[in-house]
Amino acid sequence: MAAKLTYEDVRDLYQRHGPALLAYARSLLPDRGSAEDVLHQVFLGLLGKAELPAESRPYLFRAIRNGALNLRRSGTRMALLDEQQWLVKPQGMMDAGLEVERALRELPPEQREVVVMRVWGEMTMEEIQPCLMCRPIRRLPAIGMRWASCVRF
Amino acid sequence: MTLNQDDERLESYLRQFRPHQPRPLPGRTSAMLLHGRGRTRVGAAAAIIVVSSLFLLLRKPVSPTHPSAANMQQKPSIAQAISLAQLSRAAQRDPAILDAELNSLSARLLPDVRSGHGILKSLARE
Repeated sequence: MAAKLTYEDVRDLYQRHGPALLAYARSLLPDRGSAEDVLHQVFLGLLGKAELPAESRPYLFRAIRNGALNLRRSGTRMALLDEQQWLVKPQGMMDAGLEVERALRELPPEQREVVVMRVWGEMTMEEIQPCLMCRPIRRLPAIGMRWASCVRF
Repeated sequence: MTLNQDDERLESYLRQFRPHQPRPLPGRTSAMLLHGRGRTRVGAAAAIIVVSSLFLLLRKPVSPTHPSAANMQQKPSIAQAISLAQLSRAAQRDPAILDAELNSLSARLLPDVRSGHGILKSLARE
């Protein structure tokens, strides 16, 4: 029988994946508070459980998605995504960062999930697809048209 | 599956912006209390406290501890015995019954002059 996850194991996972998972939860939920609540719920729920699969990222992203969708179904905190900042901007890139955040907010929800999982979760398209239970994804969504206008390479 | 060149450039551009750090996880003790085995232990302790409290609450009125309380429950009070209506009914039926009622009441209300340890005996000594 596999050893159970200790507090230290969970804390290590949290430090490694917490920021990307928070960004993902933010893409699903209207405010940072509820996103962090779901994040904590998922990680504390791991305490005492058997070890995660070798590749833990897809599992954690799926868990965040389920937690966020459950919270949304409860209907208590449904609102448009807030204007709070999602991303830490490097010096001199504040305006560009704000544009990226605005473009993310304007994406359809499922496409926004793909971008966050791919860019900050560093997941492959093959890993993303089962999380979203969608058709195979060939490339980042609508990048050519929508993003070229707001992102200056 | 390979992403095209534009996607790769976009990804590396976006990765310059890092997601915010989440607030730290609760400490080990709080985490154990909120989830996992700790939660089971807290639940079990709470259940024991609730059951014990209920047991004590339900047990208390069943067993009166003071002996006089038991006597009070067995014997009718003097007030009940000397009810005016009761004595009137006895007088209407038969004066002899009224006499018997009054005799039995006086034996309970007045000091017994025939008893060796009665109150009048004590007073006579003084």
